Amino acid sequence: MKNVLLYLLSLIAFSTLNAQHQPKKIHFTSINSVGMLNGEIASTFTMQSINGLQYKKLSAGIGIGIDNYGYRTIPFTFYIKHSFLKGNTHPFLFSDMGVGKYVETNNQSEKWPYGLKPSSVKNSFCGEWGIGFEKTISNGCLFFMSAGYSLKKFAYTQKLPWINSPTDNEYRYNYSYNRYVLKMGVQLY
Amino acid sequence: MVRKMKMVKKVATLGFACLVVIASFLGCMKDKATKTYKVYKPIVEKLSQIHAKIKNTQPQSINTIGKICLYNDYIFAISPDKGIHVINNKNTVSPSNESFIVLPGCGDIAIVGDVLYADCYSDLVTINISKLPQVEVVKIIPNHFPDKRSAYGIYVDSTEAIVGWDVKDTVVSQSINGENDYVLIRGDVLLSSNTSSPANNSVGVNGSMSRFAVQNNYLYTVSSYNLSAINITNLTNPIVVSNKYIGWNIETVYPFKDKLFIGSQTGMFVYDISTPTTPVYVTQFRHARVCDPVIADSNHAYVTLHTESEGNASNSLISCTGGDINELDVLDVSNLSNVKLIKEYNMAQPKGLGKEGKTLVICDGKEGIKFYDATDPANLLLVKTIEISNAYDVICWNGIALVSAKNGLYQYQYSNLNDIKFLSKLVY
Repeated sequence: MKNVLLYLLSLIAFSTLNAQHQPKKIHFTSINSVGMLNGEIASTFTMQSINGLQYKKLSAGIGIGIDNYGYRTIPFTFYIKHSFLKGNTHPFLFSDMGVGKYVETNNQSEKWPYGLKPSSVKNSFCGEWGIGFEKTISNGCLFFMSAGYSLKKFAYTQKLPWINSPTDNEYRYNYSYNRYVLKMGVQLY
Repeated sequence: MVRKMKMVKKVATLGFACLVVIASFLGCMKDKATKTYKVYKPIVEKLSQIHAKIKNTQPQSINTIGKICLYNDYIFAISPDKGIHVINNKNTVSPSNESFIVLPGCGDIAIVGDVLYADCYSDLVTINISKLPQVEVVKIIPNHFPDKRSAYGIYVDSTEAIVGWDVKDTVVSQSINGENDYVLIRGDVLLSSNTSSPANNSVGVNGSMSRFAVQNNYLYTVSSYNLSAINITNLTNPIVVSNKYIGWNIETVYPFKDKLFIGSQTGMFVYDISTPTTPVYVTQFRHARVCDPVIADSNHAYVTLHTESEGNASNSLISCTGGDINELDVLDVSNLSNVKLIKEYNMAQPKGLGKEGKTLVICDGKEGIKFYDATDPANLLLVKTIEISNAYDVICWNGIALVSAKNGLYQYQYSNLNDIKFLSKLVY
């Protein structure tokens, strides 16, 4: 967790240094955000750093973040955003899809059914879709807020050693976490 | 300015619309979770139909070997629930798979004077093997192992047996918070026996995991809770003379002189068979709930305690998961009224064991097979470890250790403990 945070902060700092210049037609952009994931079982903190390219009103990049909802995962995603209208303040639509990789937490053993560590955890789909507003706050820097729907799939298999069954004794669990997500952050370009 | 106001209005309107859309979703933003597992439906068959299938066939490819029995120049290796591989071992350097006895529901055997006794689901069958490869069923004692009429909580009539399972995947909704739902729990578990031959008949040598033991003119069998004495004076007409409840989770029986050493999941029990028809309880040595084959000589008993690891219970009727205990216990049994623990030796995952003279051989799971100099049981000297993948049963006989393991049947000559020689490997 600590390493991931450090990595994200480093990425943001690096992006900031590299993005403070007059934009070209196609240029590097970095989108960094923090926010909340709200769903049936919890409201949890999330953060993400996306780094990629911007062409006019279209931005696309590769994202990495933290998703603490349910079982903690690190989402590796492909992000695409399209802004509308002109001026200092304008709306945008975004789509973010990829794979969430499971990361063990300190109290994780309490979360597994029967307290039993799974024999395998699958990297599963994750995605976010929504809208937002962005406002230019300085040259090469946009502040934005966004809201949207977030889906996280999560799957694992447990082998239950104490159950004697005719063939295997596996339980396979599949989760679909449906959340809405609120984020704010800066886009550097 | 006007233009800017229009744009702000547009943005605000669009934003508001989107928030309404998101808000409308909030009510149906439920998380979903499912749990997928297998549901088993038993396939039941009449025992009379099963008995009709007992016959000799061409040698079958060896996939899984359960318990083994050494009889004259032959190795009888059980393919659990399917039958018995008959392996000619006259040439110990090159054993040959000669035939297969189809015997559904078979888990244990004993052989005396060309007569083979085996379980066939809940029945005890007597088979004449004097004209191998031809075999002939000569007697069936019905319902001798009533505990084998049930599996995983399902019971069948004494004339029927569960021969297989129809398996279907089932998906159920699961609590999103991962709440525990508890399911059925079951918990089980091989030696070279010191047998004495009835009359002048030769007796097969069983591994330490065997539930059958032959002593004098009696065959002793253990089910998960019963000890039975069967008079085999007339080999082809065995007669059950006693049935005794001796406690639950019984796994193995080992004969030594006028005693039976019985291994259970909770301890070792000793029964006196001076009067063969009525075994009498003498003493016990209790231990934690683990699997424990036991062997003994005049003064000492050797008990291996092991915990069955995940996914490794293929050769066991029940799995042992009661604790993280893997050791060899050496007991002083010279005074049966006061059985004493002499020493515990740490092991990896010990299973079957065998002893001949001063040589003790232990199958120690993934670490392989271990040869000990047991001159001083309180100070066993490890002479050699041979890495064999998941060795689980051994028979020590005439200076040869016959080892059944996950990937083959091995033979080693240990008559010179300092020069243990590999003889053969029959690959599955």
